[in-house]
This record gives sequence, structure tokens and C-alpha cells, in this order.
Amino acid sequence: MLRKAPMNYLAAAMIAAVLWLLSGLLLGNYLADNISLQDMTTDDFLLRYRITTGTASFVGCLMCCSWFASGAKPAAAADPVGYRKLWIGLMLGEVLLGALALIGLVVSMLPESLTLVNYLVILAGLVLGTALFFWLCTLAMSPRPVEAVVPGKR
Amino acid sequence: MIRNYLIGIGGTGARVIESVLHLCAAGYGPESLSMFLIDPDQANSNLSRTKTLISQYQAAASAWHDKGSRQEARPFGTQIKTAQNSIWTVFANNDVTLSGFVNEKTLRQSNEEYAQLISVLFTEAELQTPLSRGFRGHPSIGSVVMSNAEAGKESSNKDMVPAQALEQLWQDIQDSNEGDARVFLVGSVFGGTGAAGVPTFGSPKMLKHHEKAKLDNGGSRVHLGGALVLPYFSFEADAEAVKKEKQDMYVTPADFPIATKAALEYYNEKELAFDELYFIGDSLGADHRVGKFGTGGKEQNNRPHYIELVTALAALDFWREASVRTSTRECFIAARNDQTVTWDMLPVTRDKGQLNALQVLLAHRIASMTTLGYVLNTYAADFLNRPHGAGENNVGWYKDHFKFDAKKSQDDGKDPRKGANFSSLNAVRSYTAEFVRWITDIGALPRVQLVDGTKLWADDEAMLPPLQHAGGIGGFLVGQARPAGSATFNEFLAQLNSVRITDQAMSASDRFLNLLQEASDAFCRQAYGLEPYARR
Repeated sequence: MLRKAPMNYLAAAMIAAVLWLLSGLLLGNYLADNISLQDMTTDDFLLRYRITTGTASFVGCLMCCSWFASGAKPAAAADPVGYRKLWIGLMLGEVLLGALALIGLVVSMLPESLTLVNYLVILAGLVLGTALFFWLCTLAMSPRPVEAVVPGKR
Repeated sequence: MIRNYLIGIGGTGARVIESVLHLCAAGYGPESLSMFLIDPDQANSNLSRTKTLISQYQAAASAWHDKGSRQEARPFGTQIKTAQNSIWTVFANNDVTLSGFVNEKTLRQSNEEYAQLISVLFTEAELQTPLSRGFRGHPSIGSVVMSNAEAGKESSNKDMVPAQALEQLWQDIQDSNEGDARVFLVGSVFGGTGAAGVPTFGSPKMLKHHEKAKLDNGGSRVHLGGALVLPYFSFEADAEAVKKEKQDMYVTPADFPIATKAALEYYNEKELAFDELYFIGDSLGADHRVGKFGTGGKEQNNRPHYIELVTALAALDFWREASVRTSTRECFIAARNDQTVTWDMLPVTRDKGQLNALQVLLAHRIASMTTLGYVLNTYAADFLNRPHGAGENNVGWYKDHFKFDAKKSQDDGKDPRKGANFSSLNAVRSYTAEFVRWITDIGALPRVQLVDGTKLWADDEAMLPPLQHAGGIGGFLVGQARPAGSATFNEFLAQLNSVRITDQAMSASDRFLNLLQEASDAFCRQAYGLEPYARR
């Protein structure tokens, strides 16, 4: 049931929202409590962090939906190799998205003295909303013709 | 206990049995059927083809034994029974002539009058031509021979071999109640063997009112039906080919009408014991060339014809309706509306109320079996040639149903590529290839609009790869609901992906076949708008 539209789209959007709440609120609040800022206020940091992770999650969710849409095409079942490549391409896109978001945050916060742990926590939040989200959603909710091409599917 | 029997006599009889087998394979046949053939022409390619097909059917049916929860229209659902020797070849050796068979030489010494009568009734060529290639379109010879073989008894003639299959038939008949042994004879009226055999076996004392079939109340254990196939095809009989043939006796299509007229007059006058008799023919026959000229033997290898399918449907109608008895004689007629042969013109039953339902069921079963055969011999064959679960084989329907480690030898039994599973799949695959060949050959005849073989075959030998020719599978059935080619192979794969088989005890080959069969059924319902009703 979850592999069919519109359920998979709705479920992916809900998962994206939940993961963003986890990364944006829980991890964000954790960072706000533990980060030492020089020029920026904590509220500014939190806003910037939440916008970045939110945007990454939103774009990541769109990429996941594009996978659902193309995987539901009748031709998908006839081309597992091509769709495996497409999945890998989208996954790399998610990783790149997370990396770009991290680079954007790092560059914008260069004057601040963030520790390695702070960066790792930010990275975890971004990975949660992009690559991990994509893998989980495609593993559990890919349309039937392409479900087998997702790594981890038994 | 009701038992169904089919006796194919001569080349046409063999070809009709071929059609009956294919209908049974498609799931359109009765529960069980005993069949055997009568033909003295052992080398006849039509006969060999049917004999091989019977073995292939039985191999495929036993290879695919677990069809899951499916109760109706099961592929290979008819249990085909044959005697150890399913063909009665009539003669004990190849050089038997009519002269030798009736002991003409001895007769000339002992009874000159009989010998002279023989000379009046038969020409020298008829007396001296070896009968190893059948009766060569001369039923007068065949009737002399066949009437010598009283069913159930071993012939006293040393030139005749006993008919093992008939012995089994008589054993069964003696155990039957009134009318429960449903025997259907089929042969042509325009040739030699069939024209001689059908009236011989249809005569009252041969089967119907034989002492072993008689009941105390005057009834018979045998319900006897028959199909007389009238001329329905022609073949290429160019002067050169005929000249090359050194034998004196042969028939060409030009002889068919005269032979038919004579045979029908004979049937009209003769008291025969048929409870039900079907006359089947086709005026389009002159355009329907099924092969080249040959007097018999290997050269007699004819392509299948839709009239054989129609005759097979007559046999199925006979078995289906045999329990409906009427005291008055009823006649039914079915004919084409015009010069084309379409699905809705096939005479599947005499029962008007069931006509449409059975036509839809027939079209669905043939479409589904064709789909299965096509997929098994293309996509699935390629699939099984590749390693387990990688690359092109990384698809949901397969991964869900075949969970094993290909590197572990203890998992070999779960792999459809290995051992008994592979052999079973091969048995079904070879049969279904014959099925696709048969139905597309029928569809290739002019004005026969049933199946378009160009959608499935690249040439005479190879089928089109469905991944590259995705529209073929949805366009081969002519004249059905959706525009031809609008349903593609991708939709078949979508159906395949939606099939679930939960029975863990099922063998890998059965599971593989059931997946494809379920998908074929669903695809044909969707692609061709065929919703078969429940069978009676």
C-alpha cells in the first residue's frame, strides 16, 4: 500500500517533516545550547541552521518524489540496471545536497569558532534529512517495479 | 464414472488431436481424456508431430504439478491418458498390400469367384501398392482392412497388429454405466484412413452396440460421437512434384469434392450408431494451403488449420453436453457470417446461453497460454540464463519469491536454474513454444483473424525479444477490445510484479511458472478486455 501513489508521496513528505523536526529542533536546540558564538546571536544561528536543513530536506524530498514518479512508470520494470543507475545518481545528488548545505553553513559561519563536534552534529542533521531520508523512503516505499534495485532490499 | 475418449483416425485425426491437446494445455479441456490414434502411415509427419506433442504434454503436465490455489482453467489441467502404445499402426510390417492382406493368391487357388470379385472391386494398383503410407485416399481399401479389426479382439490376420489402446478402452467400457464412456471419433471424409475408419468404428457392432457395451435394458455404456471433417485445405500439388512421385496412387485437392460426395452418400445410406455427429468443413479451403504435395510419410507435414481447432471445439462440446440427453433428433448449424474467421464466429457450443461466455473463455485461455509461451521462451529464458538476483535480474517479483544464496550448494533446490527445477521449466517451455507456433500458424492463414504471429515472431525460428518489441504482447490477439499494441510488455511486468505466491512448500519451478501464468492471465484480462466467466 505504501508503495503506491499517493501514499508513498504523502508518507515521504511526513517523514521529511519528522526528520526535519528532529534535526531542526532537537539537534538545533542541542547546538544552540552547546555552541559558543562570537558575532552571531543564538537565534540568528538557529534560524540559519533551520533554513539550511529545511531547504536541504525539502529538495531531498523532491528528489525522492521524482524517484517515485519515474519508478512507477511501466517501463521501469523492464530496465532494472538503468534504474539502479538512476537510484545511485539520485543518492549521490542527496549526498551532494547535504555537502553543499554543510559548505554553505561553514562558509557563512567562518568568523564563528565552531568546534569539530559542532560541525559533525550539523553534518548529522543534514545527512538525516537528505541521504538517510532518501535511502529509508526508497527502501520502504519505492514503487513495485523498482523496489528491488534499492540497496538493502532483501 | 464418466470417461472421455478421443480416437483420431488418419492424418486429419492426428491434427485434430494436436488441437485438442493445445486446448487442454490452455486450460480449456475436460478433467481427463484418453486418446489414441489410428494410422498405418507410421512415418507420416503429422502423426509423428502429434505423437511427440502428446509426450511433451504429459512431460509438461507432470513437471508443473502444483498450480497453487487455482481451481479453474488450469494450464495442463486435463489428465491425458494414453496406452503404452498410443498409435495403432494397423499393419504388422511395411510391405503389406491389399492383395497380400486378403490373401489374393490363396483365394485364386481356393475360391476363384471371390478372387474375381476382388478384381472387379479393386484395380491392380490398389491391390499391389504397399499400404505403409496409409490408404492413399482410397477408403475402399481402408474399410476392408479396418472392418477386419473387431474392437476388443485380436485379429486373426497375421498382417495386422493388435490395438493395445483399444483393449484398454474395452476394459474401461465394461466398468462404465450407461453412456458414461464418451467416445469421440474424428477423421476426414475426403482422404483414405479417416474416411474408412470413422464409419467402420461408427457401425453399431463395432463400439456402440458391441456385446461388451450392451446393458440389460438395451442401452449402451458408450455415448458415441464423431466429427467428419469435410475438405478444408489444399496443398501445393505442382505438376513437377506429382511427376516426381513414382507411386501410382495419390490424391490431390482436385479429388476431394468427389471423394467427399461419395463418402457422404455412403454415410447417408449406412446405418451408423453415432449419438452425435458433427460435419465440419470450410469453403475457404482452396486458399488455405497447408504444405506441399506428398503421398504420405515424412512429406506429409501440414501446417495447422483453424478447422482443426473448430473440430477440437466440437469434441469438447460433445464431452461437455454428453450428459444432456434428448429423445428427439436435434440439428444445430454454425457458420461464418462472412469470409473472415474471427473469435466471435468460433462454434464453441450448441448452447446459445453459454456461447458468449465460452467464446470469451476460449479467447482468454488461448491468449493467456500464448502470452505464457512467448514470455517463457523469450524474457524468462534470458532471465534464467543470467545469474541469480544481479543486474537485469534485480527485479521485485523475482527477489520476493526466490530468496536463497546462490553460492551455497544446499540452496540449489531453491534455484529455478538448477537440477529438477530447470528440467521442469524446460519441459513446460518446449511445450509452450509448440503452442505459440500452432496458434500463430493458424492465424497466418488468409482471412483468419485470430492471432497475428508477426507481433511475436521475428522469423520462422526466433521470437521477437519483448523488451525491444514491447507492443507485440499486447497486440497479437486480433479484434479484441483495446487498440492493438496499446498494452505493452511493461504492463505485463507490472502484472508480474503484483502477483504474490505465499506457499513456501511450492517448488521453485512451480513458483516460477505460477508467477508467469498469473501475470499472463491478468495481463490478457487487462490488455484484451477478456473477462472469462466461471466455467460450467
